[in-house]
Amino acid sequence: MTAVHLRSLTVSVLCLVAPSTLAAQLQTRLDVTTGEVRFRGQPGAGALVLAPVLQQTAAGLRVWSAGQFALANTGSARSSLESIITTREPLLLGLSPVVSVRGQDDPLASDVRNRRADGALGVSIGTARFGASVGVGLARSVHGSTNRAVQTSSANVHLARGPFQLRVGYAGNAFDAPDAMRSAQSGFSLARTRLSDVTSDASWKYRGFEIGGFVGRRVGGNLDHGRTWGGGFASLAVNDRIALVARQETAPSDPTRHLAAQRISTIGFRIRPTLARARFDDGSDAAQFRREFQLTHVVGDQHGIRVYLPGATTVELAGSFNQWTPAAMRSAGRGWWHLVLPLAAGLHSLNVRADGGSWMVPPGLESSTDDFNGTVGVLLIP
Amino acid sequence: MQSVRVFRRCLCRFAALWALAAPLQAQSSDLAALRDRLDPASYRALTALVDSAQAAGLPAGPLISKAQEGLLKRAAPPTILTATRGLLSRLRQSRDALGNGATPAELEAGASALRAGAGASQLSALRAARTTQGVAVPLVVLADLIARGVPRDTAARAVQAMAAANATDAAFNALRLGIERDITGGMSPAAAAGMRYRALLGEKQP
Repeated sequence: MTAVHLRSLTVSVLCLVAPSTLAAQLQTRLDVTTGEVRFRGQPGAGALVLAPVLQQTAAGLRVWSAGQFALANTGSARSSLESIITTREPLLLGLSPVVSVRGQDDPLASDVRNRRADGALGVSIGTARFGASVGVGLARSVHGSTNRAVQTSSANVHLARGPFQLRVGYAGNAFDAPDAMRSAQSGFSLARTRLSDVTSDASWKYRGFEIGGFVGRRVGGNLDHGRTWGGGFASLAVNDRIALVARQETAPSDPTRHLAAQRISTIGFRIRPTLARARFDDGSDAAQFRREFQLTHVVGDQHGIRVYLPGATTVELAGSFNQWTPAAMRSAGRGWWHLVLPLAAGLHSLNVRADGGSWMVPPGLESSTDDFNGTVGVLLIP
Repeated sequence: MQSVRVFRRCLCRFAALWALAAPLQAQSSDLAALRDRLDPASYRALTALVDSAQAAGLPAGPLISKAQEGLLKRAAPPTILTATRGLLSRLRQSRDALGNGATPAELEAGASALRAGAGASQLSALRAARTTQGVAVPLVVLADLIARGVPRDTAARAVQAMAAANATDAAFNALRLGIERDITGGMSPAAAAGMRYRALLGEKQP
């Protein structure tokens, strides 16, 4: 099995942002799956795929990094790693420098290594529910006999409604490629080639189950195969930390690196390791005191509700105090979400939900059974 | 001077009327808002339940809230009506057990405890054990413990013993948090409840 040179790029970026709070605020996820990888025109081979996702929130910024390292026992490997820096919710606004390293050893010649480094600068605006981003960049070959320079451009729109998420994206590549017709007439000649990839992916979550899929279509270039691709995945949570994952996908060819299209089918598990316990502003330990729910009196009947839900992208609160109309909570950082609202004296029922999932009792709050096959949080205002 | 006193008296009466009418008006508008979200037959049935609660002197707000909760959780109208009817019944039971002087919060907490599985006699015993303070918090804790798997009688004994020992609301909350932590740590709900309330009472009583 080929060893993949994992870059330390992600950790470097995170350390630059918040060296002192790295361990406390880093959220991680790792998919470990195994199965088969099949390159076009080649027999299938066993593969191990590692897909880590890291997210760091600090100093008003969110650094998101994701990678995929596919190790095939034919001596071929594919790796990609990218990081995006944005402002935090509720408004995602700012520049998004994207740095990625993509590589894959030639499946037909194991001694040929091929790495491409991407640098891009984008602008994103929106919220976790709806937003858009555009960016331009430049890719350079750092190893192998591939195109030396590739101009890239991208545009994305994302939409999240309840448990559904949809993203539509465009990625363009412009590079110089050998022109067969002109080369035949007047010797070796290069021509400007443009490839446009339009992709769309969607996912749906229900309780511990998640399913998703993606499709892509390539326009432009002189290609006879690999113009369409797609795939899907499903995951089923075993508990808060472990989920089973199955994935089947076809990846497009990459003419900028002379790579063939491929198909990967894997199954495995997803783990969410806890690197450190979250800490409150006063330094107390959340896991020790289980103060995931906090109520503070603001003024009059105005009360602040704070809920600890690390890892959530959106959190909504609904209860008897707001006619059970979902209200979006605001991120207060470090996994905390808060909302100020009027609460009259008396007993209130409430639920929260994260990322459009199922309604649940806010962590740390008294609960009771509701009459709809679920549970409801109970809050008493004296 | 006389006119000032009359004006003040009128103002006070107006304020009192407004204070009484505001919640009723809010309830009325909340109920009316459900007209578009329920089919006519279900809406009529819900209105009848609300009228019935008001006629019996029971808080109607929880019934409307229950219907709103059911709609949010995408329950079918018959399920919503069953839930609302059940809540009205439990509010009646709660008042019978806690007495006519029970506050709306206590009635709701009692209904919640009954829904969780507590008995009406256990509510009465708790009321009798805690005469100087409200029983809303102990009832909320009782419902929570039962919902977490603590056997009904064990939970009721723990809460009643603490009430008899004149434990504060904070002590009840501490009991619940401690039991929750023990259950999360792997202890059985019954063992956790027993250990925690004995420990709290031990600290309370010399």
